[in-house]
Amino acid sequence: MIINKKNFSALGIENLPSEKQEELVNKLEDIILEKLSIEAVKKLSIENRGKYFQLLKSAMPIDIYNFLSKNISNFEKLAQQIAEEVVADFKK
Amino acid sequence: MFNLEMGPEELRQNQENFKSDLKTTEIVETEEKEKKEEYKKFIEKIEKIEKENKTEQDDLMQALSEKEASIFQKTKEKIKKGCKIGIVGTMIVTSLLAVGCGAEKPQEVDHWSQVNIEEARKTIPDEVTKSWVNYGLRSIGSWKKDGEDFLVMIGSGMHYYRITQENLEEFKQKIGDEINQFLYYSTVEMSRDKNLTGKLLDARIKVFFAKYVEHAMENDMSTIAHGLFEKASPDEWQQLEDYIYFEVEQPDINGEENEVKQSPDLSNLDPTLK
Repeated sequence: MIINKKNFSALGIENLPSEKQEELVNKLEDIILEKLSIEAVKKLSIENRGKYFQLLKSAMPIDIYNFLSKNISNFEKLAQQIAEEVVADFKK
Repeated sequence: MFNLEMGPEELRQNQENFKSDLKTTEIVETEEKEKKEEYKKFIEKIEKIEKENKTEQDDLMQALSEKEASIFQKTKEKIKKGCKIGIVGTMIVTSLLAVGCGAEKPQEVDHWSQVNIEEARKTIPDEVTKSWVNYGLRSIGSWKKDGEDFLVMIGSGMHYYRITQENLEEFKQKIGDEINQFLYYSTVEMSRDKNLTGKLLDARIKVFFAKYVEHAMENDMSTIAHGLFEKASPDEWQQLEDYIYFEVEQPDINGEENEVKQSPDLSNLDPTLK
């Protein structure tokens, strides 16, 4: 789990039992990461996309992050935007 | 509880207690029911977002070549894991904080500066597990081979990296990754156990950086303490001896071909590129 209890209030789920809160946060986190994985492919240049798919077959997880972070400008900002969108959708 | 020897007053009190208990039970049941309904609504929202994600993913899979789509599906969890490890220290936590709690926007972290070590310590407040601090400490040490000292680091998946002057920059990157992982797992543990103390992190992380990283970068290799590897078990020593390497390629997944047939331009799928 990547956010601690003091942040649950941001999601409006603080009234739920803690195990339910954790379950929801884990689901949200998974959605954010999945969306990021999809958007990352779209953002890569054709050349880098070729390298990326070669890399995916053998790389360690952290090497994948390093590649994306290096080859997509403002990759962390992209992740931030996606996280904000997902949380906003959830809070609607 | 009803008793045959009870007087009228006791009977009345007993009846009152029974009513009160009944009412309390009803309130608890109502609250539980409301919470269940609230949870159900949250799950429905998540399912809706997941459905939208699925549509986006299907579009992408259609745009990719068959080979690329297959690799993406097979490695999706690995991609997510990598992003999670890489980002979690600075990004998602802060984003979620920023969305709901008005926290500061994330900053790029240079893991090598003392200032940012302090920042990292703030990110993980006062609760970090001893086990993951030890993990951080164990991940770097020196190794004597053929009479020479080598700086060695345990990378992800228990791979050992031999550090030389030529790959120092890459080493710094790897160490940054290790620290990210370290911070990530510390955050995970932090949310589980509130009794863990920040003092532990404070003391240990300073030792970690000062003794095994910064010192190693700035001083002659021979002055580096042999570090924690000296205390390694025979199995760990054997692993070190067998697997000291740097940048050894991993085998392909399921022996797949190296060449990946590429899909056409995907810019039409990315609205920001239009």
